[in-house]
Amino acid sequence: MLRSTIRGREAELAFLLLVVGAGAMGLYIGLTTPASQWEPLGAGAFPTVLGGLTLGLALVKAAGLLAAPADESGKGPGGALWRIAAAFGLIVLYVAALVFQLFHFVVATGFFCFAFFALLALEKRPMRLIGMAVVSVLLAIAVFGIFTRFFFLNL
Amino acid sequence: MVEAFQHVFTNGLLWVLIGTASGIFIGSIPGLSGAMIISLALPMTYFMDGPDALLLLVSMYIGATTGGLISATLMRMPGTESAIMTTLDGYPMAARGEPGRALGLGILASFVGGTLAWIVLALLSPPLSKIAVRFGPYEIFAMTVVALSLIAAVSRGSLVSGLLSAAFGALVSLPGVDPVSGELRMTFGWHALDNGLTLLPVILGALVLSQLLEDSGDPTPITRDRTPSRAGGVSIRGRDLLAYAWSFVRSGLTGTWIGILPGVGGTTASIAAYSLEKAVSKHPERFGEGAEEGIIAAETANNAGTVGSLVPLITLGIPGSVITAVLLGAMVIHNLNPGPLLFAHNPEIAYTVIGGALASNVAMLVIMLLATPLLARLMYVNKAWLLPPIVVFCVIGAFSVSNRYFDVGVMVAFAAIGFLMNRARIPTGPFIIAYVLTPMAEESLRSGLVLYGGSFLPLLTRPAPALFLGIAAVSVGAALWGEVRSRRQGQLS
Repeated sequence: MLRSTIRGREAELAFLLLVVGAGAMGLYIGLTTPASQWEPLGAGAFPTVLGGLTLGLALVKAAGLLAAPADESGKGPGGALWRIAAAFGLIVLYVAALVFQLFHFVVATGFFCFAFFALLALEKRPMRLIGMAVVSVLLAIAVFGIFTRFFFLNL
Repeated sequence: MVEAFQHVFTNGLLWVLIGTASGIFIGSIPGLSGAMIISLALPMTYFMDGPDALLLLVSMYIGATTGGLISATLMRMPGTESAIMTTLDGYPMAARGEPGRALGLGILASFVGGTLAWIVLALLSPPLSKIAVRFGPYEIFAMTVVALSLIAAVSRGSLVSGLLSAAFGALVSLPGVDPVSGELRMTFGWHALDNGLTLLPVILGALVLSQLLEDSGDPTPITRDRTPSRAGGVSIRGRDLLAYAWSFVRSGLTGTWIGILPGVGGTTASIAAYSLEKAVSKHPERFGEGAEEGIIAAETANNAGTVGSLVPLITLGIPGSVITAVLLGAMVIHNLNPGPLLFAHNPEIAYTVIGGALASNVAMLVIMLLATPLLARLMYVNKAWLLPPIVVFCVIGAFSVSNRYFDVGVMVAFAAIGFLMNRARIPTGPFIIAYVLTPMAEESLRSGLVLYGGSFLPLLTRPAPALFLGIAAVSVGAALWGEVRSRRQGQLS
């Protein structure tokens, strides 16, 4: 029963969980914020109202999901999910490499671009792969040069 | 005004040309949107003057709307959402061997639509701003409520989905310094959150990276065998202006009016104008078979809607669409005080936007006529070559907000959230617009309460707030009624 309700609606349920969490947090913070001494509404009013509204709307949405047939819900646009997951994983790794300064910006960006090009193009021909590597390195160097020299970013 | 126009047509002209050309470039590639390029360009504008930054971004907006007509005409694949109605008659005309004629009509219609809407923008904005300058906090609050309710009511998906998206966007805008009392709120003792979740990383994540993730699932290029013919021989005929004069005027005014309404946008404008043109036509059976009036209606209205959406932005500081929300963000970033006081305090900015819209419209006409055959080839670009650099620019853009990688992390988190919303069929438009408008709504409501001694009553007794809230109630009520009726019809069938 539960499995058939969830099937095909994973994205909607995940989003509902997210907004319920955000709504509950807003409501809790709003209610625990001390009242203002000098204005009718304090800093807690909007979090309370918006948290409550979000929870109420999430409840209506959940009820609608339970009532509707589960056939097409949550499928969303086409596209290979494994490639989307891999692309997101690559982006997370790239950002982590920059945040924790595991590599210099040029190295991290060069590797990331090459891996992303290869993932998206699914290329196996060696000459094409070499071409992608060259483009990736040139792109990383050009971007680093432009943004550090002309835009004074501390990359 | 004269100074602003002088700047637009002298020093600012380079930004207009760059913005229009890059907007057309991105708009002509199916899957890449105007919101994407404007969000990506926003961090670059940190290093520019406010007027030049706005010239660049407004020109991108106008260019991207027009660029979508190329793939819509040649491949029945709209480059941008607002070009969807162009596919109905543009493609059949191209398929029967007249691609140059179809593109020429579309370009002429885009130019006429943009020009008609520009006349309305130039004539309506100054007097509207004089009314808006008298608005107090309750009027501003009621205006944001009507904008949000209209956006939620007409957005893709159900009313509940639109409202849920807006409520979530409003919640996301709350962490950081409280706009009235100045105390910290929802930061959980985390100092990185003291300034809240900044606009650019949220927009780059929810709009650009989430779409990029979707595109990475299928980045294969379009094959050439799907196009009916090459886009050679693009030209416009002056006599079409006279022959279809009423079609241009009807569609231009429809598009402009719909563009001014918050949340409705270019897509609805072109649908409404197309339907109107078909309804008044003596030969409605020709629509969908390559009718000239069909192309004219769709393209005149979507460009008119784009320019029309600038009216509430510069007079009231209310964004009518996701892109105008980003433009509003750009004004905030450049300390240009968007809102009813923009005309009073920074008239040169308002007139720069007005002049920029005109200059970009002319630039669009020239670039499209000269470069359409070349731009038509962009449809075959393999996105595998475009997506990695876009990610790198997103990372740099988010980082450049305040030189810290925390904002890059925020962007990645909102990329995942935006992707989830797309998959769950929750519209992202209300989320972005609520995120941008909520601080203004909160500040104005709480200031109003202080001003009126804690009474909500003036919201109903003062004419403007009562009118705005009435419109909000009617729009939500109408959307709710429409949903109930369609469900009943669904159950009956």
